[in-house]
Amino acid sequence: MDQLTQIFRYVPLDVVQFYSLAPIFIMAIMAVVVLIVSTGSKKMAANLSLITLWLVMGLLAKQIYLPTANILGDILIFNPLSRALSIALLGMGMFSVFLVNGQVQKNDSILGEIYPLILFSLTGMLLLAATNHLIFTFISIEIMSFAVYVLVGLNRTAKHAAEASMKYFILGGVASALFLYGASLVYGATGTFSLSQISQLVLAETITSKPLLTVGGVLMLAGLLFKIGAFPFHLWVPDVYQGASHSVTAFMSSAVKFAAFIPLIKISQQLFFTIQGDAGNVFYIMLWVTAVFTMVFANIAALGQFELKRLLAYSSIAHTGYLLTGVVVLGTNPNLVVPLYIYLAFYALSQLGAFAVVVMLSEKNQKDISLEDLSGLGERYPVLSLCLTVFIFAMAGIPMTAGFIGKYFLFNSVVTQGETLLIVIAVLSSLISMYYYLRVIVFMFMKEEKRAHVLEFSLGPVLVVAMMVIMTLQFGIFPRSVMSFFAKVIR
Amino acid sequence: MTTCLLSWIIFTPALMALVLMFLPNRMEKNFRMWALLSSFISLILAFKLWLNFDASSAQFQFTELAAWIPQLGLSYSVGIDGISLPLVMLTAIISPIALLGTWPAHGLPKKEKFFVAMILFLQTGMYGTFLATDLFLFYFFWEIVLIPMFFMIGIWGGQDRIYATVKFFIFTMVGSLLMLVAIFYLVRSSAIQGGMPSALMSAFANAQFPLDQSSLAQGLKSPQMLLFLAFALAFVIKVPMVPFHTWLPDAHVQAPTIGSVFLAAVLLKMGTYGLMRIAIPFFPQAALMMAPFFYFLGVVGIIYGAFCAMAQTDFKKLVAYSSISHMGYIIVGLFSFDRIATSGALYQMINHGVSAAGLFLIVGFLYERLHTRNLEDFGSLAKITPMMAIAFLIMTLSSVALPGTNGFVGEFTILLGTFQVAPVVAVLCGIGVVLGAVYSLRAYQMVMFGPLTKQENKSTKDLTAREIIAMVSLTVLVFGIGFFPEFFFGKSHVTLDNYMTNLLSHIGR
Repeated sequence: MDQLTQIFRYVPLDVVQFYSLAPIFIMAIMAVVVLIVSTGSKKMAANLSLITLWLVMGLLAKQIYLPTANILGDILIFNPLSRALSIALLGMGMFSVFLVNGQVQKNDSILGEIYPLILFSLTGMLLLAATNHLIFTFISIEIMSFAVYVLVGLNRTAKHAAEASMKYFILGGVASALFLYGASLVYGATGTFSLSQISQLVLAETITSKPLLTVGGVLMLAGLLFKIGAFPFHLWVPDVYQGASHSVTAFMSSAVKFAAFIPLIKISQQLFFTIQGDAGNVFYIMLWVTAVFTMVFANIAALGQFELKRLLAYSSIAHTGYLLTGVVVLGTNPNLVVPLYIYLAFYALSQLGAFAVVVMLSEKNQKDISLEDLSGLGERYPVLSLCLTVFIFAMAGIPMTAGFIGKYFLFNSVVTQGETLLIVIAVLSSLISMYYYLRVIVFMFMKEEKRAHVLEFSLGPVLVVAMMVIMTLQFGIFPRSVMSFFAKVIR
Repeated sequence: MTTCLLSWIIFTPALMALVLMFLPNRMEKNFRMWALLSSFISLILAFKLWLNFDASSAQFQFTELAAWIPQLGLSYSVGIDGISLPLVMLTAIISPIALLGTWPAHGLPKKEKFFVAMILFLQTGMYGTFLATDLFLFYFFWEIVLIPMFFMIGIWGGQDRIYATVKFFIFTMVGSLLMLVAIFYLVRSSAIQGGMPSALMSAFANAQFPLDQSSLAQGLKSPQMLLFLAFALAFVIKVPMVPFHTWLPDAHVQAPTIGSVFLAAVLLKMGTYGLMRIAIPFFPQAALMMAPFFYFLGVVGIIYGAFCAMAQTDFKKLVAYSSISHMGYIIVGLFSFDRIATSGALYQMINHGVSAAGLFLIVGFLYERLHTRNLEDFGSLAKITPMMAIAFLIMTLSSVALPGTNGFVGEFTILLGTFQVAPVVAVLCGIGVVLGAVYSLRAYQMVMFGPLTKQENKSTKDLTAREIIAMVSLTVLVFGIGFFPEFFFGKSHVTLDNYMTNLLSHIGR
């Protein structure tokens, strides 16, 4: 058994490494500062978080093409891809903060701690984007998740919130434990936590105790599937999405979902798909079956939903299923992660936009927004309704939206890898999804108004909706720039 | 405008729609004028295209090619040949006619701006579908067409509009999503063959996908057959071919008149165009293998559609079922693998577009004046509205394929060609022509002759000037094509010859 000091060896940092670490340091320090500020003034905390996010994004953009910095033997690897992912995550965090601002103006009972918690969570995500080490992956996931557990429960006045938070916390704890146990078994089989070393050892066929490795991998996979909300570990998703306040749900369905896929992708490529033979097939079959069940189940379950946020939650599970088809074919080819990340980024656009509309629709004391409440919205607020329509079409994968390009790119790469049947199932299940996506639009445009809508527009959500519509349409018609950016980053 | 004529034709309506979107609502009285203007611009551009089209070439002309998403091998590639030229002209001619024929007489419908924008976006989608020479672009426009139609039926439709529009959307989606998977597969195969992925139609024109022809069961498992079925399903749902037709009567009955006109005249042709452009030439052996099956369904469609039309009391439903019947001829013509019948199928696409547009406009005129579509509520209108009676008569004659009208040109050519390959099928189709005369003339008789059933019908107004312009333009087409088919379809001969030669060489005849 190694000493802890052998696992985390002390290595002095040089300047480049320190520079690469700077974004994470700044985020962590500023999270604490904002925490202190938030007890006094919510407004100042909000502005301070936005400034921090801007600065860190700028810093990351500046260093994006710097050479790879490997710190502490694979614990943190900063390369263009990890920096690009960090920028995307921070961007989603920033838009979520805008949404929080809009909600704070409407509802005083939202605590100021929401801002530092988002920053803490983002810090965990930045670590997650960079790490290539099993234990550190676990720690990063926990940093991210703990902040989110609290965020979900932060909405004190709503009775759903406490239930959702508790459920998420307990189930999430079990999932983390599974992951950690799996990681320890993998360590037992390989003698290292570093993913790149594990993949070398496995590819070289030097592992003697393959069963141990496989069982460890399966346990880790179960933990990760929980984090992304895949069938059969999806049960928390609808309750948590419904219980959390709207801006937190926006944050979860964009940034947290994106971040949760990062370790799954990394570990799939460097552990699951490096194992040869029957043991390796276990992961292929598990992922294949999970993908199919997630897509089909979520889309059928969503048909019965008449509450907007629960509907979006099931649609989010369905999208997890589509994304898993991309994970199934990952293999060890680093280029295949590009469609997944592009899909996740484009998907986040429509999620942030849709939840921004939800934030605008919500009234002070009313938690749930049923589809009935949407009726006649197209008559009274045509522009807002058209924006929501664009987001819904993006989720449904209708051309001219970024969601379509993401789906096309992902499914195309899966078919190119020879999994045509999987994609046939995927498109047929997305056909089911058309029905409930259309229902939202039908209620908005084709039903008579039941109840007069009086919406107060505040700057934050309006800004988010406008930005997201522009980006959804722009990347839906001219996606070239994003694709060449990712192609450049992956090299 | 000469350099990228096709792009101008495609995007003029969309540009106009964007302009309208930003105009204030108080100008909504003029929005139709703007839409009409844009339709006329497209029409003029289309005429320019017609005049400059080189009839002696079977290649795509006026081509434009630009890399769109090079990472995926997708390009913006448009072009026109003798098959798409008549359909583009049809779209260009029908658009202003539809606008003129459905001009709101009393008061604008609700959300006028949105309505006009949807009409314009629909036009962009239709032109794009016919002009795209890249599979992805084709799919892109194919799907774009759905959205305006979905809103048009859903917002401005009749009583059961939501049911009808969701059904329309989902039915069409079933086919198009499987088509999308087939496109993935084709792009992948192009990447394997040529190294670089490509979705250009020309890349697949001569691609031979494996097909096991030993038995039908083996054939069904072969890639070529699966690809063919994926594309064909998308297209026959749109046509619609029995048994995938059930969305059509619902959509037609619920749609506003202008929606019905576009749906019948142009949107249905997208399906047969797809068969002719993609499904049959790309996968000829598979198409040949399945031809008896399509023959059968085509004939069933002709006869079943005709019988259903005979049983209707709702005028609009009658026309909708007659569309199903008429589209059956096109299916039969396309799958006959005969030069004459194939050209007949192309003629029939245009001819049905003209006569169905005319009939739906008549239904719209009657509904706007009398607020009913029930055939029993009319009667004796020939004396009250003589102009409408004449227009209706001409459209009915065209629909029953009387010699001298355009309908005759299409159906006769199909029957003539099919008779040489499969006489039994041709005879069965002939029954459909007879039945067509029965239901069309019965409808005409119930509306225009017979006793006056309701006193208030006495004060029915005759056609307005705008409506007369619309109907006269259609009449010109009816008799023009009827007497001078060579003038209208002459430009397609070389392309059709080339299409047939390729097809026959692939299937080894």
